[in-house]
Amino acid sequence: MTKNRRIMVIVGGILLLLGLVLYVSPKPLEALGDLFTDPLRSPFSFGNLIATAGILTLSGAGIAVAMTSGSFNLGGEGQAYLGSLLPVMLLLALPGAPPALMIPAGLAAGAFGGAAMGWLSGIMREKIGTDELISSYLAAGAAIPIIDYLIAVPLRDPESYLLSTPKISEGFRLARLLPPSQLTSGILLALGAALLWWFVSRYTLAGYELKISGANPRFAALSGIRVSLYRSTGMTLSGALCGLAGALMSLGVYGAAIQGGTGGIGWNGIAVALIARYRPALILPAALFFTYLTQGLSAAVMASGISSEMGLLLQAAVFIAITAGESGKGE
Amino acid sequence: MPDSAGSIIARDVCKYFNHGEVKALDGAGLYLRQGEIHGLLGENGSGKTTLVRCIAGIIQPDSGDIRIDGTPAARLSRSRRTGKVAYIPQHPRLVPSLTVQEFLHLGMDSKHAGKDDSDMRIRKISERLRIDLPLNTRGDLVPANLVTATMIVKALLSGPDFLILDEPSTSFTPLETERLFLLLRELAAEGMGILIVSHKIREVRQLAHRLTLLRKGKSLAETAASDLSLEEISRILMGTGDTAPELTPSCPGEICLDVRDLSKRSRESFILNISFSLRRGEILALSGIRENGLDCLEKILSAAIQPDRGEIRLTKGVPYPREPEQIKRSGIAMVPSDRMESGAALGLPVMENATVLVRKELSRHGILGEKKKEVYTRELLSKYGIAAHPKARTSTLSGGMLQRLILGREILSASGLVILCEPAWGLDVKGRLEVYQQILQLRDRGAGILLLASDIDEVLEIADRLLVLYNGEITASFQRNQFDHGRIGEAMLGICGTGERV
Repeated sequence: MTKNRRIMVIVGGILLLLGLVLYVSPKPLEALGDLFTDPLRSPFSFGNLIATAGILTLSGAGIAVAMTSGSFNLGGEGQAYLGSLLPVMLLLALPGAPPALMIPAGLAAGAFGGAAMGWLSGIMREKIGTDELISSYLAAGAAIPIIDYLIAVPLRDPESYLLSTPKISEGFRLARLLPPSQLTSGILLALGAALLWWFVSRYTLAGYELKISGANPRFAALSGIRVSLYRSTGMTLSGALCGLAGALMSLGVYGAAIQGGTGGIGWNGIAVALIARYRPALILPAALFFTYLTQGLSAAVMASGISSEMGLLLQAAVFIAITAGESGKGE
Repeated sequence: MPDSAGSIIARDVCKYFNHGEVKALDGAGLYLRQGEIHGLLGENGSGKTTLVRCIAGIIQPDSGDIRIDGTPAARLSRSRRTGKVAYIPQHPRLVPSLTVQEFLHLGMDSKHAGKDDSDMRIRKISERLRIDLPLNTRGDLVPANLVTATMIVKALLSGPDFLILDEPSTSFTPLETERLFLLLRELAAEGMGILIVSHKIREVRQLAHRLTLLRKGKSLAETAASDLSLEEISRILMGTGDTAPELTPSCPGEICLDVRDLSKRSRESFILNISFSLRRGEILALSGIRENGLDCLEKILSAAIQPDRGEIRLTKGVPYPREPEQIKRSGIAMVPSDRMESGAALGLPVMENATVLVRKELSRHGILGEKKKEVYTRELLSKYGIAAHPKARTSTLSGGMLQRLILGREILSASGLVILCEPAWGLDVKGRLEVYQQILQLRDRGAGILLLASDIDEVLEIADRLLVLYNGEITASFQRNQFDHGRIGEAMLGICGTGERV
């Protein structure tokens, strides 16, 4: 697909959005104003935009890694959720340990949780032939209510009015960059991961072999590439990135694991990866675009009398238009 | 202007790819009448497939005029057009999850006809083709020749006025090809217009009434098939008179492949007590009808299946690899016969496919730079005359160019044992001669080359030794000075009176 076409598709999607907003809103101009300016209006909303985009960059890159390796990760939701809980449990258990050690350990715990779930689906495919798309989806479906229960009953903070674990000590939280917004030093991690993935896929032997395995497994095997290794590694890395996204939510945004606190990371990561067409260099812009639109729409919904269901519908329409336009055959 | 009813007329068709960089068609045209078989001939990359894809409405030409029964094709609705013109691509695919029967039912008018009636029509047509379709087999398990047969039946179900076939006989056995041609003659006699695209000049010249010759995207001549001799056609298509390479005698070295008492009974075919050995500096051809054991042997050599009995050893008695991943790592170059499916990742750029075997040599400390891949790819492309940009998507290459890319890649980096299955499939005369030259150079550099080919014409020119496989056994063996087309052909068909018995 050519660059021009990609730009046309995105512009077309935005025009579609404009038309729909004008059509459904009782106060179209205000709605449009909010839609486009809200994410940039204050340091607060700008900080939130960047923070969310960073988190979606991680999960989007995660989905794209799996896809590139030839597997499909539908379990990002559960992986992120587990990734948000494990670091909190670790940090609550060791409140006195030095933060310089514990913050990386917490992040690693989050990545580990997601990676374990991804690895399980990956290895089941290689050993007994279970479809990883189904198994990752089901594993997430099983993990989510269990984690819901852990947060709501044994780990619950009785003081809190939310269904949430106790807060981790302030010293363990990721440094805030633009208070009171949600932007934390976690953004650097997201940028670093996106950059690393781009580099690995473009300039390394491992990235090359991963791409070939994903694009045509039989060809890869006949060329001496260990396809099953790359495929399960792809699932594991994918889970790790989704888990890391969850850890950024709990260690950065909330300071605790909250029931349903990571909702949407996995699914929205798929949307981001699709918009970017799994291209490593496009994950970050796609995450920004996605977040900008989501945030703008929710502001427009609040300000101008569009119902929130209609807001979601608009969002869905635009993303469907973009993914459909992108995946159309480019002769 | 010719009479336009009952015809397809294409004039001055141009089609460019990569923003005008590649001229696929540059003033091509043809005139296909109902009731005739029309052959479209040209070498690899001459634009044959692009032209018929334009006519079938798969792609839009950039300029030019295509009329179906006198109406500009662009004005016909898609359903009108596909109802009139049926197109069978060079490498058709079925729906992987549907059985052949379910696939054939797709798009059939179920309102007027019940399922039984549809099945009856399917049976009638496949009986005319005289090839048994595996109706209950899932699409992804159907072998290539039956995929093509299924597509032909599907095309005929809609009762088209025109039938376009792109290299239909590529995957067919000689017998199946004969049956197909018989059916095509009948259909033409019943009034259908048939366009057959091929680089097999001899075959098409016998079948077709008229021919259109295409070279570098231009239509050069339209003639009655009998007006031009094979030599004349070949001269027009190629421009020059290429000749087969002179063979220098081989000087065999140490054994690099030793097969002892190999037996295997697989679902489709079997081999029985096969023994042979191959030395460095020698080209050994194993020939036979594919179902007579050739495909079984290929599967064993590509480690897709394990033999029931017997053993295979490499140089100095090293056992043959048992995992597909191990083949290339053992230094064996292998081109499988299903290379269009397993020889390249079509969605990736050309250079990713070109460099797969030298990826380790090109990388340093795990870093593999784009520049190095591109430089290596340019060298490969120019050496094998492949017109493509290293960064273009591999799926944009024409069939013949892709064959050259895959063969070239394997040959260029080979040194020890080289196994080539159906080496000349999909190549025109010129491409074949180029590949033969490369294979001979490879032999003279000391590689041992095993050719598995179902078409003896493809190997006679370069093989030093030829073994014939019939009914799972090696029934005859010929040295180069004993090569005789007729006797080898008889051995392949199981009619005796062959070279020295083994």
